[in-house]
Amino acid sequence: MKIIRLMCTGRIDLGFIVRAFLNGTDGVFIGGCRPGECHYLTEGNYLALGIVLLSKKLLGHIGVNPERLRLEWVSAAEGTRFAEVVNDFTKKLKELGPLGKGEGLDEKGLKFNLEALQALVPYMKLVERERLRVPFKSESEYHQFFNSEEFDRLFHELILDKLAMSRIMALLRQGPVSIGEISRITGLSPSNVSRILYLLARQGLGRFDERQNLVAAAYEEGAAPEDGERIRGVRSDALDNERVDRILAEHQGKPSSLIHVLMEIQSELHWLPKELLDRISRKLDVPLSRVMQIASFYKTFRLTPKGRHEVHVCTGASCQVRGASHLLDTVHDLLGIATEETDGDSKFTLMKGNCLGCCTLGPEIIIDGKHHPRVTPDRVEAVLKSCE
Amino acid sequence: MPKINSPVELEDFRKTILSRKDPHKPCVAICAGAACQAIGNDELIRAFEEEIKKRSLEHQVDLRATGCHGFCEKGPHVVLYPEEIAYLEVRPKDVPEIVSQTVLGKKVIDRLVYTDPGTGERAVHLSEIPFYRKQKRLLLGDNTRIDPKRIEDYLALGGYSALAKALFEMTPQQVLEEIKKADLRGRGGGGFPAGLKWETTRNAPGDEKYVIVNAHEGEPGAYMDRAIFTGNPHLVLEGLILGAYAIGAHQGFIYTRHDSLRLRDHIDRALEQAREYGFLGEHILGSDFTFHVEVHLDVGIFVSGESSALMRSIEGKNPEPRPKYIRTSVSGVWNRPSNLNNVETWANVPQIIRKGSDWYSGIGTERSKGTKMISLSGHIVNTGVVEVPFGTTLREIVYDIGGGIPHGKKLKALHFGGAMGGSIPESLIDTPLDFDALSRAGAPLGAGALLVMDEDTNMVEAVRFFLEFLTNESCGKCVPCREGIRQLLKILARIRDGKGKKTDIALLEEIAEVMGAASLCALGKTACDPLKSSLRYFREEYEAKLQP
Repeated sequence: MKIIRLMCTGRIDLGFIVRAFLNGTDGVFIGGCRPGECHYLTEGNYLALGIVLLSKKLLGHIGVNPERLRLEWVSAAEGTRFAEVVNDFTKKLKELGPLGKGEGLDEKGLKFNLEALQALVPYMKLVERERLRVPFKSESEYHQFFNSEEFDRLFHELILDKLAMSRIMALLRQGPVSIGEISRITGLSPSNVSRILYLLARQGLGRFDERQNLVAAAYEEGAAPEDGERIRGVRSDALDNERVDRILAEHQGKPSSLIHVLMEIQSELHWLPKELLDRISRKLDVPLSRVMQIASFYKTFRLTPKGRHEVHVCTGASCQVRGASHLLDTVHDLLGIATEETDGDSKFTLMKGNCLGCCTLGPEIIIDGKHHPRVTPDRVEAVLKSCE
Repeated sequence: MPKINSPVELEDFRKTILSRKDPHKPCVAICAGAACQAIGNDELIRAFEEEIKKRSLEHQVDLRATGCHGFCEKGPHVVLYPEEIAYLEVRPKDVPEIVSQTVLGKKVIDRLVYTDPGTGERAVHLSEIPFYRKQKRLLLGDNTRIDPKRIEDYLALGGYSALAKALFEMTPQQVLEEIKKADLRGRGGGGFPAGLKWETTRNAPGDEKYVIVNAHEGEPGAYMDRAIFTGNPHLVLEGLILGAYAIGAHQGFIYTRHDSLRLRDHIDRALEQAREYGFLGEHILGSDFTFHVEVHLDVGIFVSGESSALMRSIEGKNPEPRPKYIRTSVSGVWNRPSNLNNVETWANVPQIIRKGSDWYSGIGTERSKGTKMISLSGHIVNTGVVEVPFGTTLREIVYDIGGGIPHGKKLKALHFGGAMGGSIPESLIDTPLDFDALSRAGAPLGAGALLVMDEDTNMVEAVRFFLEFLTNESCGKCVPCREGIRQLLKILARIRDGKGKKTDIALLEEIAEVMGAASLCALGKTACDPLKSSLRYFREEYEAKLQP
């Protein structure tokens, strides 16, 4: 057992707890002054309470038993109580077994998750400070908040989603993977993975190879971006397209043709690799931020490659009135993906919206440009199966 | 083909074309409109081509892939000239029979003609079909007679005679006056008098002025602009050139969707041929008037159909609207006076010049003149594009032309204007088609997309999906629109799921009021119109879903 002395439990950083577990500790014990008895009136022990409650949720999420982290109100003056409490904790840890093995976790998987957590600590500290600080000054109110629906929602939206991203990024840095593999390793559904990859693409963090169906991290530690391609063998076919080069040459140095260039390239390639956006920025003399602004705002432009088949459910007003929402739900149930997402095998990408003016055929599903008129929910499966 | 350098040469050329045409020569006109194309009429066209070739009839029979015939419900649609026999729901396997029986044998194939679902009566000729009988197809009527890729077809029907008349017999001011007298109102949704807009642009300071065709047609459920522009591009083009002449503009822009390849192809060809023959470019028809046209494509965003956003897009920037403290007719593209009108508005112009404003104002109602194209969709038997004079009652449109509601259901509501329009209940079905009458009822005509909703439609859900559409299309620049729609969606989802609070309806109305007053553009201002009209007429549906 290693003892670390602090001036106040409020000094405890989320990162300390994560680092302790990364170092292989089986348990972390925090002893602080009793709430309400702070001589200095800053009452940092409440902050510690908040951090500990948050950490327990995080640990629980990655499969570590939250009881490995314990907070007790025992001051430095209470020697006997300290001994009692620590003995009790040690006994508990013996019951729980060694970190990871006691929960039946794979050692490498646990390390991977803890590292992802560690990478996210700066962001989580910000979230905690801005959104999870409670103005209450009683323990029971703290506990109530951290068990509330509101906290759950914030936790999911602000932290878990980013944690999933962090885990996926860690995976991408190790080597090229497919959507299906990411889903298997992280336990996230292909729908979720697809959604997150799209978010990563918007920030330029991923490199996609549509031919091999692989994704890799855009930046390698210590390597130049171009070398990364060579090291990993992940490169988009789209970058070698002659027509794209011609389009760029035509509009070289003309910032005002940005949207039209993007339109042409989008209709040629059906998506816009980040490396290409870099090239466009240089050739057209437009700042990359502006290129990204346009590429990410308009739904016409896709920043990730599509699956082999694009399934488009028309949700224009006329088709809606004829039951397009049911169709969309049915497709969603059958393929397991939501709109703008691609499934694990990169076979189908689901899109919605965009009335094409063929209202007489509604409700319709358009697959790879082929119209399937007047589809009823029971026929959806057959229509989808007809694509190889 | 040498350029045509005077009205006389034009008339001579026209006579030459007509003399080359044999009015008795059989012609097969196959609809190649969007919906027919989607159900595979390219195959049908190929089947006809093959059959004609097989029988070596290339010189005896003309084959024409035309624009939309309008009767989308019964497509693929084939019309056989000169008898004007209309065959519906034609399949490639019917082709050999059609060629031998009807084209050559002059016999009608009963199973392919229109059969009235009620009476069983057959209608052989196009004009006998009830769907067409009640319409007044001044704009769309020529679609079956024209191959959009051949300017000669348009010329054969009198095309560009209005232009010749205007350039050589009228001053620009006189052309403008005719349009004003005809009281042509914008067909894109605003209903603003076109003549006044033209006049503002004409009188605005500056030598360089522009005219623009808004062919964006982003409203879901609206497809009539595509029908006329794909089927008869020269009609729109002639209108545009006339407008440019009246306003004093020498540069025109056509702004259209990127995803309709056939439309783009037809526009490009039409422009190319017009330039070749001298209807565009320097010294049009030998006059002093010069006019050039450029085509611009949209980027798939609904808001880029809004006039100021569209102009931003032409300039190569993001299509973001601006508040109209200064009208775009005074300061538009590159801050120069720009007159923007809808496809259908431009298409109306040639006939007004050719036949005069007195004739035109004889059609329609007191303040809504001429005809209007309506695209019928939703729960209606005959989906398609129809054209009726203003003043026609909605009852006639829905029942006599539209064929009523399928599956014997009752009509619940009629919705105009798509996501930014309104619904009126069945009780108002005798309202005449008129800009002002419909506005007063709470369902402004908009672009003319009529969505029919039957008794099973959930009005709360309908409003919700209109708002969902708009929330994706909002440019996000102003708070009332961006945040307002988002909050409305949350509240409506709550109501739809039966968890509505008692105060929710008042809250919806309050948000709607703020959005209407404070949004920068029409999208935000009118986003709440479906909500407002449904609260006006279908309030019980909302109240039923509130928690006690």
